[in-house]
Amino acid sequence: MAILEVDHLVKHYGERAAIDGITFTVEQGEIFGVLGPNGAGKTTLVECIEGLRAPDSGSISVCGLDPRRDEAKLRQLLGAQLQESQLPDKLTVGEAMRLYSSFYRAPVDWHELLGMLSLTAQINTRYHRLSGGQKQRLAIALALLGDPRVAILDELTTGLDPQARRDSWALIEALRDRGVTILLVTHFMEEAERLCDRIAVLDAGRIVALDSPSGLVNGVKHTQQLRLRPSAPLDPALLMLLPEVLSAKQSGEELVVRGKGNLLLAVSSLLAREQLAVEGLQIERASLEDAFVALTGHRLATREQN
Amino acid sequence: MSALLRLTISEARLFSREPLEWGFALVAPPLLLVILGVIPSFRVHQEHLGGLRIIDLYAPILVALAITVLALLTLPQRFATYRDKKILRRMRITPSQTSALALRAIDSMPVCLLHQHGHNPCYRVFGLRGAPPAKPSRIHCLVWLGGVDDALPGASGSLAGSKRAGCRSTWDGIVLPFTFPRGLVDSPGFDARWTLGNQRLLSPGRGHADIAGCHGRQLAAAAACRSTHRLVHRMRDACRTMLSMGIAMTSNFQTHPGLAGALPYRLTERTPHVTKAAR
Repeated sequence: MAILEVDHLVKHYGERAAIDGITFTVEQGEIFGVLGPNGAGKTTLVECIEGLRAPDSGSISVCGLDPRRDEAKLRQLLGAQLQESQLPDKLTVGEAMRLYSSFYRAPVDWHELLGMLSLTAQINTRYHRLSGGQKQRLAIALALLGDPRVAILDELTTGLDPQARRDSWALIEALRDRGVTILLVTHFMEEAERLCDRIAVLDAGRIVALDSPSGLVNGVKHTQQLRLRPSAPLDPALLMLLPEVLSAKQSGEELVVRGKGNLLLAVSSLLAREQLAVEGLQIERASLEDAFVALTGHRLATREQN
Repeated sequence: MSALLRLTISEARLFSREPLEWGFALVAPPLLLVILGVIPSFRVHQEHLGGLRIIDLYAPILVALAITVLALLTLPQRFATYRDKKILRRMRITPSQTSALALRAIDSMPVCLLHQHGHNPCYRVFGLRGAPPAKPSRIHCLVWLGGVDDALPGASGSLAGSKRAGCRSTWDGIVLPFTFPRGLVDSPGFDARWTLGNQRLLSPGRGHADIAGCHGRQLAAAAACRSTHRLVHRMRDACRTMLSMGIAMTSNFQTHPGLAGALPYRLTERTPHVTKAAR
């Protein structure tokens, strides 16, 4: 049975639909990514799942519980890291951990958790003296204190340096190995591509695509792009005759060929027929980012936060 | 209950790390009392004050000041900060039944601290007549109960979101003025001191300080609740309390022929609020 089910969820803010009929399920032990530009409804979606917002219609079930009705039970099973949530400035890391672990019936050992997140040295440091990355790791630690079955991580690695980001990824993978289901809200492509088993791409309150990262990438039309420099000039129109090629154009000395399927083989056999050698060749595969642009029609973070 | 205890400890610690907060609430009033008490004429028993000294008049005023600072400045500000930094929200996604309960510990904690004012040696330096409470334990229980009673609606309401908050705040408004002040009724016998013959003086003491405290905490809860509507209401209530405290103080002067002349105007009526508090 799916551990998280969202069925035809709708949430309006005034006239505007923040979430406009979202349906998906997440299986136990999965890392499920929610990807989308700012204002796509990602945070509203997770807030509905956390039970912080009441949806206008549709239903949500987390571990078989309704987030609004069975709130008390759900709180023991769900760990969440909220976007931009802070702690009192003068509270130390150790005090925060002790305080929050007292809320749970069966908390994990917070010393161990701090060790995993390499925060042990900061145990007596006050919150406002922590670096951005340390604050973020503390937020993760607080989310995991109750030994949750489902963890929701909202904009987890925003504001982290590359090393800290990789450390967090390792932590998430370690969590998954322990059977924790993770809902990861992000707008970092690299992160989604690396971690997620499946990704839901949100745009304007709707799911525009739901697939594995590679599935999403393969679904994009311009899957591959070749940049090649033939030994003698070649008419791009000849390349366009190939069924695999979608576009071909001259760019300086280089030919830029976009296409799908076995593009490389088709192009190289054409070059062989024309008795041309290749002096330079570069293959560019589409990234998740290209997939994203193709799906939503715009780049990430180009839209204003509402 | 360990969550409640833990949060109380944690909040007490945070309070102790804010010298400005405890300075104004706990250190400044006794200090002022000492300074005022140094003036020799303030220590002379006055016939027209029913044998009281001016310093006797200041004790309740300073306690009221301390409570007011905590209730109207420190608490709402702290809750507003907690809301702003999404600390309340983070608490809400933990098993919050306890944390709702716990938040009111934040609330009653400074009140308990304040209660210690009654035992503050500074208040005894000048032989103030108000005796310290006979049974501190009982009073503390009452204060706690009062705090628990009135902080519950506000804090849990602010945690739970709008609908419940609304219901509870109504309940709050009804129950609060009766529960909390009772906690301080037995505190350093303000009342006894304020009787002049058959006429009881209106002092800005117990009643008003308590009511100010209540409104302050409602203000805090409203600030935590993100409800502008409630906030406006609580602000209004708090201002009303302040006003009635002011009236009480001036009418206090007025009752004394010797002091009445100092006022630029005469008060012709008392608000029901004031009369009730002085009951």
